[in-house]
Amino acid sequence: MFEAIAFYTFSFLTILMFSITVMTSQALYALTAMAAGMIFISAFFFMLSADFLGAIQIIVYTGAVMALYAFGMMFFDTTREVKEKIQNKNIVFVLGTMVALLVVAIFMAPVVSENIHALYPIQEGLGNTEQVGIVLFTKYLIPFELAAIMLLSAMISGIVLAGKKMDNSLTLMADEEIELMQEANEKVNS
Amino acid sequence: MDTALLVETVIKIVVILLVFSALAGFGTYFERKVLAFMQRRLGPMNVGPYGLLQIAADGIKLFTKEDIIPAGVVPLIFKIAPVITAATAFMAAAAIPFLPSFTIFGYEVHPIVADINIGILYVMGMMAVGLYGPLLGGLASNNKYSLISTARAVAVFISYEVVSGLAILAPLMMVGSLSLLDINDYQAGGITHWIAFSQPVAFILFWIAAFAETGRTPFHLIANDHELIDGFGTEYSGMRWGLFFIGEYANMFFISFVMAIMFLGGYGDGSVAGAFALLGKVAFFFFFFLWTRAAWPDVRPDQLMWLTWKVLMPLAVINVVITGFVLMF
Amino acid sequence: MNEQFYLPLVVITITTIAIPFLFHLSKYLGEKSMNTNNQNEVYESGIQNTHKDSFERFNVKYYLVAIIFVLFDVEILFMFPWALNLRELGLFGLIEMFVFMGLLGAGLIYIYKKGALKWT
Repeated sequence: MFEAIAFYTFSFLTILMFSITVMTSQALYALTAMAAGMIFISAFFFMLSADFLGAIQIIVYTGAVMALYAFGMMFFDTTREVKEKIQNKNIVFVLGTMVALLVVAIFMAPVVSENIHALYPIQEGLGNTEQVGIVLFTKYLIPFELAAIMLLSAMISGIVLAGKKMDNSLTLMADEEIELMQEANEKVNS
Repeated sequence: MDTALLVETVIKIVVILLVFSALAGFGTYFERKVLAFMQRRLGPMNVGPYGLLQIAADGIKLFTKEDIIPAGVVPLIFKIAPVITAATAFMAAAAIPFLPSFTIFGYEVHPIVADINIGILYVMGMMAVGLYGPLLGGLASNNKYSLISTARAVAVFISYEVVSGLAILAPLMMVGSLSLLDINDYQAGGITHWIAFSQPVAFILFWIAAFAETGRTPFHLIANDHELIDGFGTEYSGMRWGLFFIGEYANMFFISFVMAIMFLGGYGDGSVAGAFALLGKVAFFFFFFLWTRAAWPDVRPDQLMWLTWKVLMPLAVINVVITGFVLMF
Repeated sequence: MNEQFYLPLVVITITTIAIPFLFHLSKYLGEKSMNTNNQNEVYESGIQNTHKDSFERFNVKYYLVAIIFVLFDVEILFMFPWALNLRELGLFGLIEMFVFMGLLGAGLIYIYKKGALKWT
């Protein structure tokens, strides 16, 4: 009873928050709503007694990934209304609906066919974090190391992509230099 | 649903909210007095005996200020931001045992709101969410100082979260549990069992990170008075600014509790002397925050980033590696 | 789901969010807002506000710090389950973790070499 109420409340809140993220035109509302939605998702992990994953959901998504988005936002003017260039509204609508249906189908398939059974049932006496550790370091060892390599390559590519002309500081350059740089950029772009 | 549990929880939460809101007020008084004595002044003296009623005067002033929402801000986010700072600070308190359990009128009380078994991770997660106070407050404020302060706050905060995360890893390897109660019980054997002695590097790293995460003086760049006015709080006034303030001071108290429990033995074996010792340790950590403010100048933002990524973080990683070797062999 | 643990969390979340919102009602206690243009102007240390908004471009290094943080944060959180199971996993787990940390260290050295954390 208590669990059902909690589940439906948090589902409603999560969907509401992510709808705000998609619908609003004010970037700050989107950022706040998305962060709140991420926190509400963690409630599902807590309900399933997966405390460790719940805490990670909060720390990584709300604490780290959203901070990244926030910095991304600071490079643009958040108060300005953005007008999207849409060539054909029908294509966007049809493609969007199809993708949404596909996602629903993918997630409904195991529910309908009743294929779900727990691979690692909860062991009594051990906390969730310990269980995650034991599974992670025995059965899922290779994926774990691959995750490390993936993180490393993500870091390197992030720096390579974002770090171009990193040492140029617009505030330290004279106006002429900035103009020269802009002209050079225009030449490259045209 | 257990009604007794609900009533007990609500009472605990109300007590925590009242005590730490009041302590935040007293904290400002102590801060002014300590700073004043260190600079050979008297501090607040006029309102009440030794200026003690200054807290009440400040409170009345904050509550009765005119409500100003500056032009060009995003009103909703502007109002939500201080709530986030205050709320996350007090939510982090849920996993902290403030005193050993005691019996009152034949009813055993555990002075911890929820003994979740991921205790310290929960506290860290809540502090990570606390970042949204300065972040949203600064972004919504339509003020250049606030915006710069926000960028600095986020950069400093996330850098030091890496350090604090790595620093608590080494003690956790020894204890083998994330619950603050278990960490406390691990050190119940007395002063020689304190983790601070077996993990001095982790202790000092976490202590340094605590200054950054609460935004206290050597790392007070977030609201550096002489360059950024009041940082993300520049446009705030009245009780909204007061909420930022309560959040900051409550955070200082809670992180002092975490440090005292994790590294300095907490309340030990749970005796009355142990409880007073815990309060004494917390008082020392809080005093140290104020002491540093009087004694140290602020560092520059680039020095701060240099310090965390090139000194503290490699140190923390090496500490974890050495701890692993020592525990294994 | 363990009610004993999570019910208090729900209660503390609701109370700690509701009470600060109540504090917003303090605007009815004090003077009524005059809402004049001069008063509501953005604070610029006493001079007239010249820009209509506060938009400012930031150095890309802030963004790089955020990227690096996301990755290191994930790596640190991967270490927590290992730290709690240190004795059960034994030497094998230790070697496993040192490989993981070695990759982390390689990333850190790359960052130093690239100068992504050089703030001047």
